Amino acid sequence: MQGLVEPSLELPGLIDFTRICRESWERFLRTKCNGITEEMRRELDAMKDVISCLIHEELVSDFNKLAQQWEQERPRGSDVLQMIMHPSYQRIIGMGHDVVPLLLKELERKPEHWFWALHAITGADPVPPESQGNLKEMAASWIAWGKKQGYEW
Amino acid sequence: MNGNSNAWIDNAFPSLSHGRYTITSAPSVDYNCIGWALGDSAAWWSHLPGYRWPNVERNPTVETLVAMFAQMGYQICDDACLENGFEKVALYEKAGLWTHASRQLTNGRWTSKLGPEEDIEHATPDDLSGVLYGAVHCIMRKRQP
Repeated sequence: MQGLVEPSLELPGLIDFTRICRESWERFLRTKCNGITEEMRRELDAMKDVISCLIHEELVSDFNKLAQQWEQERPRGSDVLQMIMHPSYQRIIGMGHDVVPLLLKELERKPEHWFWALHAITGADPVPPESQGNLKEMAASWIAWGKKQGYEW
Repeated sequence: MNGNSNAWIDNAFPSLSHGRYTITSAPSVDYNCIGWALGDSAAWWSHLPGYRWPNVERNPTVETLVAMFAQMGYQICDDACLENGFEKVALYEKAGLWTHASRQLTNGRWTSKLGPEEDIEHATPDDLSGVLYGAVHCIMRKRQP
């Protein structure tokens, strides 16, 4: 399989990585095996589902570790700006759109300062002026926004 | 909740150790130091999007925090001494960015909400100077109604 994936200067997201693997494998089979049989297609689909599932599990595990680390290590007694500068928080932002449902799930469990991460990833700002600063209402605004956007968690 | 000591506070604020403060509330994420200094214990005030902030620029500079308190009726004054008829606040900065605000009580002592943690009562604004909050940038006062 080496050399089948186009080199890229940007690291692909996890889901993109799955897609690239699948496309590369299909391309390999087309080139080397003169086409893909139905049986191969079924195996590919099954493989895609397994890979997606494994990648999602890893994503959830990484997110949970980073979120827990942030809650334990964030500067106590400081304001949001110092809290969001913590490396674990920044790494969660760096995980991109894939973590949006996980952040929304966290907000549903317990209102915390995940608003900046959501804003940084999505660019959205759904909190109405009357709810600004009230963490429970801010969380509710983001959860409603997430459902409207079609996120599931 | 009232208490006289907490390990993390002792470590974060060396000037406060040896019982020079009193814990006056349990930790809470419902409000922060700025809200508390302004008498609002129901909201988290911050220049970041989605947080409570009046109609001043949303940026982290200490000048913006001064402008925000000015909009709320406070004026810069000379010192942190108790003055009859005035409520005073101390604004803190580190590397030009605002970090904290504390409010003077009617007995002359000061009250601070420590981010998402406890409220404490302490003797002077300088008690909180150090690595975490930097230093006091200015004292502001507002005439009490």
